[in-house]
Amino acid sequence: MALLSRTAENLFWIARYVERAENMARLLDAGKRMAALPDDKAARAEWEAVLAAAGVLGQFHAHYDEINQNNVVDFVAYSPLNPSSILSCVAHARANARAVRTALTIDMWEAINEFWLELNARPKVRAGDGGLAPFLEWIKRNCALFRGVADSTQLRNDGYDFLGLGTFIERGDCTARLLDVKNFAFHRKDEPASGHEAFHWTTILRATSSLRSYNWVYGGGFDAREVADFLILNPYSPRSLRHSMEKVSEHLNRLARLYAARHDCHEICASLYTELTDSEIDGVIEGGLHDFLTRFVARNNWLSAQIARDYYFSSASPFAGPADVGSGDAPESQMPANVRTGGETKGEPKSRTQAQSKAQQKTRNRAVG
Amino acid sequence: MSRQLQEAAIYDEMGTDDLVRAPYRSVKAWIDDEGLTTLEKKLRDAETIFRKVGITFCVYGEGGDPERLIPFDLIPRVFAASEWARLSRGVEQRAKALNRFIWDVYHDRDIIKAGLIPEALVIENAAYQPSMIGVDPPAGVYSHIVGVDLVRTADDQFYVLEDNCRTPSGVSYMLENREIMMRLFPALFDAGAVEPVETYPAMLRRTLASVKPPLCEGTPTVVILTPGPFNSAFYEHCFLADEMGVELVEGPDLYVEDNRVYMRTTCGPQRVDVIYRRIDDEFIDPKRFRADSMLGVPGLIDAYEAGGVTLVSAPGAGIADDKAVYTYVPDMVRFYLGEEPLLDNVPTWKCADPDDRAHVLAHIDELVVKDVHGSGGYGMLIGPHASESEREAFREKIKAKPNAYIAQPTLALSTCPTLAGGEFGPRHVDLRPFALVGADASGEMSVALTPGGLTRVALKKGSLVVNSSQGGGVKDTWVLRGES
Repeated sequence: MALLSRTAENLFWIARYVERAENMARLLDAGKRMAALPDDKAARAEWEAVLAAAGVLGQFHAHYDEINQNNVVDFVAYSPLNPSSILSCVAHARANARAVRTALTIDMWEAINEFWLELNARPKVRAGDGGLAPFLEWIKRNCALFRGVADSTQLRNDGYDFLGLGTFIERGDCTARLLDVKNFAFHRKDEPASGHEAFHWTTILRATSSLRSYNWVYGGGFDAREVADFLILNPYSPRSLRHSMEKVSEHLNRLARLYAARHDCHEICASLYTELTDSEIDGVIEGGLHDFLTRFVARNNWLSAQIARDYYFSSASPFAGPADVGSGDAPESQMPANVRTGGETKGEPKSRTQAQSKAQQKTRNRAVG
Repeated sequence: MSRQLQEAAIYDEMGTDDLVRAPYRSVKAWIDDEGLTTLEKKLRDAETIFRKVGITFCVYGEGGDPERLIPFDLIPRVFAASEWARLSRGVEQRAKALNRFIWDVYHDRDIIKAGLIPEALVIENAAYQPSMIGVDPPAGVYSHIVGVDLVRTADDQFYVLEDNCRTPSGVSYMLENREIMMRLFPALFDAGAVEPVETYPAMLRRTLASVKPPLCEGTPTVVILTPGPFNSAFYEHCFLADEMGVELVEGPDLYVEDNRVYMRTTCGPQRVDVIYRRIDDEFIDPKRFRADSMLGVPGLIDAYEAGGVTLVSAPGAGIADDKAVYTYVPDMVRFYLGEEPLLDNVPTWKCADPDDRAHVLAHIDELVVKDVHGSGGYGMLIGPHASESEREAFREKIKAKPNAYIAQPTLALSTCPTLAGGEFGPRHVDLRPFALVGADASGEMSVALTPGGLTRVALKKGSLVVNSSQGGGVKDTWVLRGES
């Protein structure tokens, strides 16, 4: 049993966009807390960090002069010019869903369709009207609703796996970017972090809804190493890189069994996952956290592109991986240009280009008659 | 015919309060039983269901919500078994003759040689595809789904308004309308008095499989090719794919290699044998037709001509549903089948003919003037309802381009009781049954018809325009089971 490649691709991107919308809401939530510091310059730096973590700092500067809460919320939540804005993500997810309605359950379609209809009907949040926090909660709830109905209604066939792949590829990407927002000095555990640093790490934990879980696992205190360990290597954290890669690996292995075929993406995934299970946080930090995260984001993107190639997605580039692709040790310089995105840009968004939509509209048939 | 006479003669399908026609007796009893308030509430329930499920059609470029609902009316339109038997025989006859005509156009042109149809009408027609000359589609079928638009003016008088030989839409509404009526009023269908329509998807699938291409051995793989979610009928494409259990593909999902067509799947290429395409000819193969089309599949026509794939409908099938060719369909029935036509055409004046043109120009206030290439109720003039300046503008258009226009009398379309504006009132209706043309076991052309069709209703009081793009609605269409 096979799935039309475009259907698989649409499912993959529906899940990525829903996950991305949720993470954008989490980022704004974190930014709002950090920017509450009583220092304008510090607040500005926090919002800049949010834009960097969202992967849209450069695009932001092309459209706005000043970094402040109003502009950042406008760009990250609403702007149609930002392909990763919450509004764009939900619109892309819904457009992808509409294109593969036959592959969704009615509950899934209704969850994403109503999310989109209500989001468009909702008045925009303005600075100081107290509406931001409830808005972000509402976004997270709707994303959770979609994942929930998918989980409880979808057939456990290949479509389920492509949806799962989208969720966890995107989640790994978002967590890595969030952690990489700032370069902090890592103190030894016996040297307590400064107030500001402690605040920063707390906020990251809040943004990932992990503050309580972290306290359970590590017994409280804000140790930068432990926070990094929790979000990178901890097997129990639902947003850690390791957990994300474990889920990606599960879904890929299910596909390998279903189709009785393994591909390059399986090898890349296995090596990425092994690296996470074999690492210790001290080693990661000594090697440079920023470099580690940049490398992860690039290789996660590479994996995503390889999945697209192995399952014949239409957006897959004709690139064939480097010779030693199986080892997972390909240096970044050997990776294809379109996956070397450890810096600024997010993974390529999947949506119909405007040119395509226009061409399609031009050829619209009669409705009835 | 004076206008007063026409208006006095409007035929209501249910009859009058004193004399309800036999097929409508159970419906009339049901309306009286439920009452206006209950039915209005049920109508709102129906609309909520349609919106939630997403049964919409798209209108772009007019502002507002591009995804609209087609208004649904609860009062069914009913045919007695004997009425239907006559109608369906007429539709089958017409569907067969139209297909024979298309075959003739692309082969020997006997009908032109016999002097029945002017050659220019065929070869100068925009829908004519010279590349189809000599191509033999399986069972000689070009138009596999024929939608024949019918109106009624009296108890025993039906007229064919037009034929749709390319990709007539609306069949999903026929099915959904029945579905929703059965959901809202199950008791109406308990007695089994109404012929079911839900066999249509299975019949369509059988029809598509029956015309598999010569190179296909074994069971053919059937797909529906859609222009995508921006197309106005996208919901219907999804619906039919789902109901038939076949893939819904877009152009980029397919490619051609060695005259065979393949779809890209997660397990690699999978061969496709029959394509029910809902894309117009000009967009279907950028290699052959419009090079800028991103909806089509390069090389598809080559594969078709080589017998590697069947296209439903065949390229060039549109030659038969042009409004100017329409006037000759009764001649086709006589010429190809040797039978008298069972369904009448609307009397038509061809503006290309000098005598006819003079008549049209002199009587434009009584006539409906149509652009032969127009569709969806656009580009036409309803003489009696138009202003003098609109009529004058059309007179000029006719003089400038006589070939492009035909005229017909304003027909007194029958009405059917309809729930509109908070009351029951008579509204004009038409009917589109869907004939399926495929191959029988011996490979000969055969026609099948689902007992039912799409009834469109002009919701505006007095309006004759039933098109969904211009405020028309739809009704469930019943064919009553015959006494056996």
